[in-house]
Amino acid sequence: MLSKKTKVKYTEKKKKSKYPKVGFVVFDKWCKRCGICSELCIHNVFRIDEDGYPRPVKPVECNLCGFCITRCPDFALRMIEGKSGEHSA
Amino acid sequence: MQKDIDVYQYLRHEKKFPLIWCAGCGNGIVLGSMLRAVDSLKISKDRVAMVSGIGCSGRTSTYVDFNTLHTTHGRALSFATGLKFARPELTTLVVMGDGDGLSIGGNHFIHAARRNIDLTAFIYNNNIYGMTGGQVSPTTPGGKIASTAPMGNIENNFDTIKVAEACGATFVARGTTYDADALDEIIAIGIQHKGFSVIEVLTPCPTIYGRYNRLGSAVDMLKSQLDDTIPLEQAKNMSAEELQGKTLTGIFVNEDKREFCEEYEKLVQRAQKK
Repeated sequence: MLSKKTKVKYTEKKKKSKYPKVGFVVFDKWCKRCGICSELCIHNVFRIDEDGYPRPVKPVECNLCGFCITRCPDFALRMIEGKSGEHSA
Repeated sequence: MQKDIDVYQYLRHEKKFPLIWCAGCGNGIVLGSMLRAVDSLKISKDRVAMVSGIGCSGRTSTYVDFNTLHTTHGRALSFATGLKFARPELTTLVVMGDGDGLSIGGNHFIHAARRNIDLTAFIYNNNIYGMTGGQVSPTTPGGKIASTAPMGNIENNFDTIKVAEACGATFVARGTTYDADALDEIIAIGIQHKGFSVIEVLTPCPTIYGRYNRLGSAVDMLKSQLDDTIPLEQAKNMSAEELQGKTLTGIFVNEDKREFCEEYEKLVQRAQKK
């Protein structure tokens, strides 16, 4: 199991979505900042932060296409259902 | 195919991660597809063997929690043939790069395909020898720049699909890392196929090949696969002019022939009767 330091969790609950609520886990230690996840996302769920890591700013817009998680070359991105904090890697 | 499977159960993520590959390298995407395909077929990870050669692609066996062998350069298929012959019940995946599988191990590739032994061979085609510093590989297209061809490659490249087909492989397919969903399905069919399966995967190499040839970032190279490739079904209705410079993807050959391990089993039974 990963140590707690490597996990960065984000979810957003403000807007209503027709899809189930999802959150994303970015493993910063594994991410190589290639930017594939944020570029391929058609709903702009991710925003690149100042260090170059993807941050899921609008997970409520996600339509669960799975493009980001299947195209992440480093297994550094994980989609989780429900609230953050219930998940352990 | 289910995308949100727990791929981490198939990975040695506690010891070996992060991956050694460069940022934006497609090898990790192929590995993910492979794991989703194995998961969809409900094969226990203890019944899967992965054999890899040397090179960027050779590192794949390090990260998966199957029975793994990391072998010498170009000889992955030779080791895999021995493994499959001794333990025919194992699902054997062989991971090779374009230089590893087709140049240095070209001879082994030809004869494994001719024998039609039940292996699934993956050829990661990134058009260059990545790990050794960007030398020309048999799949580097003419005119492209590599470290051993600084003014452009003067050789012709060959088509893995045609080579595999001519050598007698009974399942030949090509996928891309951009279309990883189609790749999942191709790999699942390839693993189920009884006989020698060749799956060529076009993977971007943004650090070496992309930089030498100014193909842009990892994202640009991944997106360009969408423009450069056409699925086989779609290509049937297109003219030769439209297909100029495009690479076809999909399943090219899927046929049944005598399989090596089964024939050997029959031979043993025949010999024991005498």
